[in-house]
Amino acid sequence: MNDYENAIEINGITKKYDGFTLDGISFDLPKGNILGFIGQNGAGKTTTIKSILNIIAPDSGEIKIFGLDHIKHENEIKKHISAVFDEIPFHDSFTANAINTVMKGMYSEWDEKLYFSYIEKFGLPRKKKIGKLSKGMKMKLQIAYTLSHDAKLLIMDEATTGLDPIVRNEILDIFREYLKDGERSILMSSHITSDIEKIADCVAFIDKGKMLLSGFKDDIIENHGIIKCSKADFKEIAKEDYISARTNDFGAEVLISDRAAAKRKYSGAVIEKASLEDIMLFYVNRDKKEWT
Amino acid sequence: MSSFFRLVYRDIYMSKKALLISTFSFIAFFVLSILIVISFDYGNIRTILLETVLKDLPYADEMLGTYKENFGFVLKIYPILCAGFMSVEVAQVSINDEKTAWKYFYRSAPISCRKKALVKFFEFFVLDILGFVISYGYSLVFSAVSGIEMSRSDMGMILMGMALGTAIAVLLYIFILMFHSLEKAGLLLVATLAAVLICIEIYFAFHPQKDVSNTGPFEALKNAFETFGLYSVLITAAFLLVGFIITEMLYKRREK
Repeated sequence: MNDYENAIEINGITKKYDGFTLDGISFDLPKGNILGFIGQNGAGKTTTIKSILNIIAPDSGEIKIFGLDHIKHENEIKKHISAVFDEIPFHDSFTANAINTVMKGMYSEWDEKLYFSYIEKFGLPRKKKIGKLSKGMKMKLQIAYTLSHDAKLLIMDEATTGLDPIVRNEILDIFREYLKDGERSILMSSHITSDIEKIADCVAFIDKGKMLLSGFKDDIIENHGIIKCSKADFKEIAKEDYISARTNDFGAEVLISDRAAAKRKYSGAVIEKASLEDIMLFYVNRDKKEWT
Repeated sequence: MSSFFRLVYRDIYMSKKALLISTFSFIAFFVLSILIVISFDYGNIRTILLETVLKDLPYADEMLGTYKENFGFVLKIYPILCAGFMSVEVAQVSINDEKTAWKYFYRSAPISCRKKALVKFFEFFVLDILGFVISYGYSLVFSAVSGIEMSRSDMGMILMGMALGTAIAVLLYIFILMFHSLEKAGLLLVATLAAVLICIEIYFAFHPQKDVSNTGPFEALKNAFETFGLYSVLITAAFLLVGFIITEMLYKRREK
């Protein structure tokens, strides 16, 4: 494969539906990184992912994967990517053994030994039907075959939703291990911001079809902050200086997007670190400006 | 095993239960039809007919033979259709695919649209051949047991069963790919079949027929199978070829 800087480059993707528009989505996933693609349910994450996988045709915009046009080089690209969905795509009657037989034919880089080593590592039965496995086991099985053909790009759409924290942690550890060589990348969409905060290097935040934030996670978290103040002090904060504020009878929590500037302007204010969840919550309510 | 045959394996693996049920269904009707036709010679059907409808009639034995031949012909229709409709299982697999994330996973896999379509139509073709062999084998056994010689109308029935099964299977599969919904696909299939049936009825209602004054309903049915059976191979081939081209186009189509 050619040398490339970004595993995914998305530029100005637009897609119109009745009642929803994906509007000018742009972000990059640098090689060797994990990008957390966050947003509420219905924000446009799955539509964006479907555009990347060429399942839907965007109305405009450009998508490159491994530096190649995702339509012109579709088959070549797909040899090196793997998609993980929120449910396993194999019928309930399949077993881990049967999946191995099918996947051997789909990917030339399929590594049967590696696949069964993951199966053993995850404690999965080889001959039990998928229909009889728990949700966590099904997801582990999906991960097992996803990681067994040396894919350079994993695209995960809500893959950890519905899993318990222990299983989610296990899966996140596996992904950290998978990326160690620096040649592989992961695009992970989720509304579980705690998972993204644990593992992602970059973040892209989408809301109502619009890209609100994208960049390195640490930079985003470093730049944002929450001012905790009284109602009286809150009135001193200029509207253009904050994203939105959560108020109650006792005071206000105000999300600011430039912590350094806020420290200079509001020198007495207590500015706390904002988590990704906080950032998402406050941005989602940005139109209201003040909310409870 | 090449990637092509592994994908075929995948579909067969999913349909094994349905194929087993079809097989048992066929075997049940096979056995039933053989037993009924034997009963015309040695069993209660012979006794009942000779003591009631054919009682005291001259040439009762010859007429019993005619009853056996005509009824035997009709008896064979269901098992032959059962075998001819095996290719519908391929369409059934796609119904399951619509309910799972397979349809997205398949799109993300490095398999060309042509290969995907080839896999499906290879399966249709193989199941057609299998259905034909089973139907032909069944007809031979039926003929040996009943003493009724296999005729051209028997072959016509087998070929028509195969053509009808292929047509329904290919149409259902294409409609499922078009609408991603079993309900819509089913409705459109029923509407299409109804339209075809109406056209056939109009044809028979108005197309000048040969002198049928000496032809009974069974003879008319046999003649129809003999006539249309010849075209059935062409109909089957046409559905497979045109269906393959349309399917490849549909696989290339992206969701709106």
